[in-house]
Amino acid sequence: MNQTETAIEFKGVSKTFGNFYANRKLDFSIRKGSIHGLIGENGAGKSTAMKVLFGVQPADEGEILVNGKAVKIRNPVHAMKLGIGMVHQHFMLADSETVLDNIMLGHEPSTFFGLLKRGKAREELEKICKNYGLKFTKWESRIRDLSVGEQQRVEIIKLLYQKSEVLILDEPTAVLTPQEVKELFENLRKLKQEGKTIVLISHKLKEVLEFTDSVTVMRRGEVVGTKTTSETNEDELAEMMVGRKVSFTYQGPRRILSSQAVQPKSVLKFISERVSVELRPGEILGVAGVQGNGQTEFLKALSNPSVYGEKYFKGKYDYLVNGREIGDATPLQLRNMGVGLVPEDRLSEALLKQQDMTENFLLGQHEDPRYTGLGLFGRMINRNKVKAAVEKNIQAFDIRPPFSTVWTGRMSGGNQQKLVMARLLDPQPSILLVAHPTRGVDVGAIEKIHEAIMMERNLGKSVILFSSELDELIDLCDRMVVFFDGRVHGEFARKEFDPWAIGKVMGGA
Amino acid sequence: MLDSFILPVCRVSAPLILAALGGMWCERSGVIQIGLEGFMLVGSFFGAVYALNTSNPYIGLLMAGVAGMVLSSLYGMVVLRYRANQIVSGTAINLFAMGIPPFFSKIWFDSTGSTPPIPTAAQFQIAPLWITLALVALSAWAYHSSRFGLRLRFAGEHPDALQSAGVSISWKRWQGILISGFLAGLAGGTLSTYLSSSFIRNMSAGRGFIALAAVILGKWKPIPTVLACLLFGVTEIAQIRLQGVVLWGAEPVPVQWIQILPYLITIIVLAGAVGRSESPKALGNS
Repeated sequence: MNQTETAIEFKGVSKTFGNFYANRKLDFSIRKGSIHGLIGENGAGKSTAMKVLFGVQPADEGEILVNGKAVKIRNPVHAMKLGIGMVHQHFMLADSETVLDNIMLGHEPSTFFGLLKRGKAREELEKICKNYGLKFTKWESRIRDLSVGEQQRVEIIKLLYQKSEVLILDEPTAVLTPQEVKELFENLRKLKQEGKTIVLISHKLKEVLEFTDSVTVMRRGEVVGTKTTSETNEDELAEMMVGRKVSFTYQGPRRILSSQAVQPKSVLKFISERVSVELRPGEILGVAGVQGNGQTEFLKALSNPSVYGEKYFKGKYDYLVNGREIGDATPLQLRNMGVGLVPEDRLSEALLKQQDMTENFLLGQHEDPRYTGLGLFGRMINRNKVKAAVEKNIQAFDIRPPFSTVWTGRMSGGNQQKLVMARLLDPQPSILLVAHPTRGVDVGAIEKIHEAIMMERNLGKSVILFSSELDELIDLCDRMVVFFDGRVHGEFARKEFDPWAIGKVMGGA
Repeated sequence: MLDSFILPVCRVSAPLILAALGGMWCERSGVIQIGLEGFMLVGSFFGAVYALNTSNPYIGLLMAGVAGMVLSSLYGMVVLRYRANQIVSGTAINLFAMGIPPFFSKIWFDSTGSTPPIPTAAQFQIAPLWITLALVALSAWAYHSSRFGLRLRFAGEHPDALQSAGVSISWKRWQGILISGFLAGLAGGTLSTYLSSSFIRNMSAGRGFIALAAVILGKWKPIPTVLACLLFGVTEIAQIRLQGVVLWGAEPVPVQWIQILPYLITIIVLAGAVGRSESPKALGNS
């Protein structure tokens, strides 16, 4: 195979929404038979570019060349006919149907009368797996009985069955354990050896550096540059992505936990049959695990035991904060005891999108004496005080746009999250429950948020940090518990942090 | 036993089974179908009309199916093309259907909502049972082993996957709706040309809803759905047999109490036995 042949080439492709450029004059090409990374922060235009390529949204100008020929890709089916296939972040698989039926959908071998030839499809799939060295045998299993990693493999096999030559994978590692990630990339390398072209959309620089041949960096809808992976490094890519020098690991001060940490007393204790966790003063305790292994339920029980304690733990648990049993406390009672919360889902649980920053900042603090005063009808909210507080926090956290009257739904994910952090810290809680603080947040904001969390820790506050980014936990935490199958499956002290070992426990080992 | 119990159960179950199969196909494609009742009603009316006019019950039955299908196409237009709420539109279809037989019976027969009796020669003896059996077999086969069934199921389970495989979602849903209209129409046709000898006012009498309950009880799968219909058929026959029977004391149980039975069983069974919901994932979203 000619190594310089290109599979896909973008030539001046632009895509606008109103007068906002989601993609502006994209120029880059993807070599046939290579693994090509496409990186950039959230909102940099990676997804839009791939939607244009996959025919979901038409380009406004410019052209796309597939195998050297200019084509107008009308819709995903057309893209598939051209040999372009995509593994979406949310899998296109029906839970209650079998693997075989899911794969052959739309391309079923069948008789004249429409009878499915499942045996024939299966033979063909087994041949494909053999040719590409993929291991898979559970053709008759239902999708819901497979692990996430296996489901992803089904998606890849589906693309091969549809004879895709270019495979686009959108953030494929977000839901995988490190072991599954390794297996995925081993498989992708095999596909590459057989001449397939792979496009990897990612925001994780490490995996892009480790597994790709070349990488295109996007920022604010434009291509910043395309590099050969072996000739670049993390710092350079990060700088291209963000537009300035950034550090991905927290490099500020990290106060050594003093003797108080050795004290056996804990500030928060949650004991139940399956989950038992203790939080010591002044530490950041990480909660790791593949999504859907009980972390969500644990957080809900911690933050609102009056409802979720019964629902998820059947009322059989002990929950103590500062030595006080609070098994059926409401969120307000918790708040008054100094427990603060950053919920899992920013948009559905933390913010009112169609209200401004002041209203959002006030959520849960509407009875705080700092923001209320005696008025005509008793205790009333004092808007001026709230506004002053919001403006102070806009300064402190560098929230943009810096106007307290902006609807939070119009702000970027990073700025929304900064507002949520500001609100969390405003009543000066002593225990912080923080979930996915950097999910869908740009690198600049990540730094700010990590700094804020670390600062609280260094002030002696205690933090439980839930995250699906193992790197983030390793970077910040003093201790980590790993969830698997609704239980605490392992615990690691900071000096034992090793992604590989933790990954094994995440996978159930 | 055969003549006194099994055959009557099959007779009263046949319309339920036909309507329920229609409902199953429609809901499997992702569209809620509460209009079965209305399709059955127009089916039973037009079935009687054509059986009368042609003296051929087969033509009557066929036209019953066509009438149901025509009405279902109106439903399809409203929910697929104009994306109206499926529960509300289904209710509207049922109400609309209630007005159709009186309207035409006034014009054609100068009566307020019934047809003259169908002569014995133009009535069915046993054929609808065989037709039902054939359609059950065809449905079960198509559901599990045909390309059509696979694609239609995905329209209800994961429409995005179907679309990305290059198959039109709305075409599958149209098929589901039209099949439900045709089968429920047939079901209505058997009421007037097989189970009795004319169309009478409000002939479907809630059977469309019982059929829908059977679909839910059968977890949207063909054979369990048919079994659920047979269960309702058994209670229906039991209800008829128990009328006027002295169960305890000196007086028979009032007939109204006995007539509640099929409906009561429907409620109890639905409330108690459904267990884990297995409804199509995308049911009702369009």
